[in-house]
Amino acid sequence: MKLRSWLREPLVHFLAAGAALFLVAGWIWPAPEAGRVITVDDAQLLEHLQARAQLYDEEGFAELLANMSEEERAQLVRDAAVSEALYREGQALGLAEADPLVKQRVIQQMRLLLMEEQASDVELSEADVRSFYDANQARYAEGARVSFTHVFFSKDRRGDAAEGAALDALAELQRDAVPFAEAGRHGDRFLYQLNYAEAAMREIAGQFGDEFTLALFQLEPGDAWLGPLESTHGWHVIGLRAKREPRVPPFEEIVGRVAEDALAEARSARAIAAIDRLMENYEIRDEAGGQ
Amino acid sequence: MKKAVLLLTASLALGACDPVTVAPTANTQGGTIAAVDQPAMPQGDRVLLWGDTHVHSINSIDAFSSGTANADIDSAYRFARGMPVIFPRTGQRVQIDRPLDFLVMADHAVGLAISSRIAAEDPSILKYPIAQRLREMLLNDGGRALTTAAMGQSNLTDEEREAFLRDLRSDDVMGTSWQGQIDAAERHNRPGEFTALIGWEWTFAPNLRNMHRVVFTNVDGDVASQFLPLANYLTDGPEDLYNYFEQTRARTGADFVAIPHNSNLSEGRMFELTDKNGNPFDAAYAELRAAWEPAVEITQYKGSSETHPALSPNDEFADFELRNMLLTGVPTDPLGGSYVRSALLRGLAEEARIGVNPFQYGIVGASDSHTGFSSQLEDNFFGKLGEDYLPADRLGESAASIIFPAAQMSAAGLAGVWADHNDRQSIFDAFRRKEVYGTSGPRMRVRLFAGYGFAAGDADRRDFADHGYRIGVPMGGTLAPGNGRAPQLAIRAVMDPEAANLDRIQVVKGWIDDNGESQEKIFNVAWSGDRAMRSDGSLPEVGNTVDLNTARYSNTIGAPELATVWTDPEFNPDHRAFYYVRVLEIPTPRHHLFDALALGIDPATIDITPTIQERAWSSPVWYTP
Repeated sequence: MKLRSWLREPLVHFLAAGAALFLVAGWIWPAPEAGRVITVDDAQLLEHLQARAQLYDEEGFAELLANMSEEERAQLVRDAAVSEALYREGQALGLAEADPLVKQRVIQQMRLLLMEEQASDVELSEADVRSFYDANQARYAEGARVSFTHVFFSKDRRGDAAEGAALDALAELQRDAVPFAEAGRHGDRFLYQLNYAEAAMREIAGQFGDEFTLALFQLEPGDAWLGPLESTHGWHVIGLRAKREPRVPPFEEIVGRVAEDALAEARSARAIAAIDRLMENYEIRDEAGGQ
Repeated sequence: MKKAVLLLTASLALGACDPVTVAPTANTQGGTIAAVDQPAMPQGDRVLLWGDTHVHSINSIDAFSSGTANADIDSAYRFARGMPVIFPRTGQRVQIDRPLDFLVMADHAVGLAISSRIAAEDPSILKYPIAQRLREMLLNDGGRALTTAAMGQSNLTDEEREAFLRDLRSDDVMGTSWQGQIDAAERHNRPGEFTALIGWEWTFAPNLRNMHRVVFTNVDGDVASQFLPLANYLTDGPEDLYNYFEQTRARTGADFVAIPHNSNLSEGRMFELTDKNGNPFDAAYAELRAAWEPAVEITQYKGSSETHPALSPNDEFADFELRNMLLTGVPTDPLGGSYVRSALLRGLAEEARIGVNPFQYGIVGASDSHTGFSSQLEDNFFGKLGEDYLPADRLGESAASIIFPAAQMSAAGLAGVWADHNDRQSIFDAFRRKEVYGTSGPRMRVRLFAGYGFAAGDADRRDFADHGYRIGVPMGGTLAPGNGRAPQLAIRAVMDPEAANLDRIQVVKGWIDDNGESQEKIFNVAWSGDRAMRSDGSLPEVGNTVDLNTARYSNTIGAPELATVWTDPEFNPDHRAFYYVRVLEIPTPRHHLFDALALGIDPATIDITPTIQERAWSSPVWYTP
C-alpha cells in the first residue's frame, strides 16, 4: 500500500525520468575530466549583486566588487555559482521553455522543488524549539518601553509663554502632590493621547519628535512629576509611571512564535543542505583565478 | 525622518541609560494651572483599529500566477502582524511599517487554493487525475499555465475541462481548501492584539463587469467549518449571495458582511437599480441589500470609486487615482452606477420611492493586494502582484507586461474601525453600525458626530467623543429631524504621526431637492494656515513641498490637527440628505516618482502626476425627514 502510493507520486516519476535522462546523456556525452564547471566572470558577479540588492547602480557595485576581500569575493562567487548550478539543473529538467523571464523563475522553481521535497515532514520537539530560542535570543529582543501621562502646554495656543506655564505647572503639581491620574484636568488638550502604556520609541518619536523621545527615555520612573520636556507641539510635564528596559521576552511568553520560526529555520536548513549536496556535483571556478 | 527615528532607536538601545531627574524649580506661587472638568468616562471610549479587509495569497488562483512571486497565507498573516517575512519574488526580508490590528484574507472562493495545493503536492488533491495533469503543466509550462487552466480552462481539452469542473469544484476539494483558510486564521487570531477575520471573495463579474464582494464572518473556525464559501459560479447575482447568507445564518448561526469593491470597473453595473432579473428594486430587495452590505470599498490599488470628474464637475478633488475601465483594461464611460457618491444619491432617491434605502453604505478602504502583503506606503509600494515589484519592472523599456501595472496604481487602502474591542465580534459589529472609515493608505485619525446641540468650542473638548456619543450619532448613523434645526457636524481629524500634515477637512453633502433631483455640494469646513475662503467657497491651494529631484517633502505646510463644529448653512428639513467627511493631506510623492528616480528617468516624461494628496473618507451620516 505504502509502496504503491509512493510509486504514484509524480515527483518520483519526474525524478526517475530525470535520472534516466541523466544516465543516457552521460553515456552519449561523457563529462569532462574535471567534472562540471561553472565559470563566473565579473559581469556575472555584477549582475548577481544588482539582482540581489534590487539596485541598479553598475558603477557603485563595480567599485564594491573591486574592493572586496578574497573571502567576500569567494562567497559571492559561490552564491553566483549556486544560482548558475540551480539554473542549469532546472534547465536540464526543461522548466525554462514556457516563460520569457526565464532564468530567475527557473532558479526559484528549482529551489522550491528542492525545498518541498525536504520540508514536508519536518517535526520539532519542545527541546528543539527551546534550543532554537537559546541560540537566537537577539531575534526576539524588544526595545525599551515607557508608560506615562503628561500635562501639555501648547506652543500654538500660548506661544513663548508655554514653557513658563509648564514650569509653573510642574512646581504646582509637585507641591500639591497631584496624582498622575488627574493629569487630564490640567494644561491644554493634546492632539494624540493623554496616557501612553508600554509605548515603544517609534510611536513616541512619531507623535512627539525625536528630541523629546531621547529625553523621555532618559528619565527614571517614580511618583514625582518630571520635566518639562519640549516636543514639536509644545511643553510637557511628565508623570512617568514605568519604564521597561530592553529585554528578551521569556521563552514561555513567545513559545508559539519561536516554534514557527524554528520550524521555518529547520526547513530552510534542510533545503540548504540539499543545495549543498547538489553543489557537490559542481566545481566552482572564479575566472579571475580564485577557487 | 524615518531614518532619523531608526538611528535614534539604535543609539538609545546601545547607550546605557543615564538618568536625568529634572528638579522642580523654585517658583511655587500662583494658580496658573486651573483644573478643567474631568471627562465623565475617559476609559469608556471606543478604540481605533486599523485593518485591511482585502488581501490575497497564493491560495487565490490569480495571485498564484508564476507560483513563485507572491506569498503564502501564513506569510501574509505574519506580515500584517508586524513580523519580518520573505518576499518570494526577490527573496528579500520585508516588514510592515506598523502592524495592522485586523486582517481579512479574502482569497477567491473560485478555485480556492487548488493551484497552491497542486504545487505543494497535496495528496488529497493529486488523487484526482486532472490535478495530476495540472501538476504536469506546472512543471512543463510554469505557473501561468495553471492560472490559465484555473481561470478559464482555455488550455484544457474538453475532456479535461469536464474533469476540472467536476473534480476540482467538488465539495471535497473546496472543503479541504476552506479548512486550510480557517486553520490559518485560527493560527494567527489573537483577540485583543490581532484579529484574523475568516472570509473570502465572491468573484462575480458578468461580461467582465466587476461586481466582486469581499465577505467575512463574525464566527470562529469551529462554526466556519460548518459551511463552504459561496463561489461566483454557483450564483447569478448578488441576491443569491444574500440568500446564501440568510440560509447559512439560520443553519449555523454565522453572520456575514459583504463589501462591494471596484465599482469603478463595473461599467455602471455595481449600483444599477435593477435586480438580477432586470426588475426595479422593491422594499424587500432594498432591505436585504442594506442588511448584508453595510460598507463599500471606496479605494484600493485598482483605483478609487468615490466619484469621477464627469459626474462631479464641481468637485476639484474628484480626479483621484481614477481607473474607469473593465477588468481587462478597456476604458468605459464614467457612469453613476460605478461610483459610491452616485450610489449614496441613488439610495436617497430609492428611499423616497420605495421607503427603503438599498445603498446605505459605510465607507472603507482596502488594498486588494495579491502579493500577500498589505502594502500601504508610497515610498515602499510592493505593487498588486509581485511580478512587477522592482522599479525596472514598472517603468522604462524593460517594464513587465502585466494586466494591473503597479505604476498606474497607488499604495492605497486601509479601514479605520471604531470598535469596542479588538476581536472578531467587535470589529464585525463596527462594520454593521458603519462606524468605520477609509483612507488611501495613511493612518489619519478621523472622528465625526452629527447632532443638534453642539457648541462652537466643542471641537476642542477633551471629552470630544464622550460628548459626541451623548448628544449626537457617530459616523454611519442616522439623524432624526430636530424640530427644523440644521444638523451640526462635530469633526476632528489628526494626521498620521508618521505621514504628512493635513490640508483641509471637507463635508460632502448629497440630497434630493424639491423636484426629486439629486444634488451634491462640497463644503470646505476646516483648513490649515491663514488661507481666506473665496466667495465661491473655495480655498487657495495648500502648496506643495515635494522636491521632484529627491522625492522628499516637508511638513512645513498644513496642520497636524484640524477640528470644527460645522452647521449646514443650506439645510432644508424636507430634503433627504447624507453628509460625509473628506480629509485631505498635503501633497506627497507618489510611488512611481521613487521608481523614476531609482531608474534615472525624468518624472516629467511619465504621464502621471508625481504627487498625490492622500485622503480619508468617513462613513456618511444620513438625515431622514
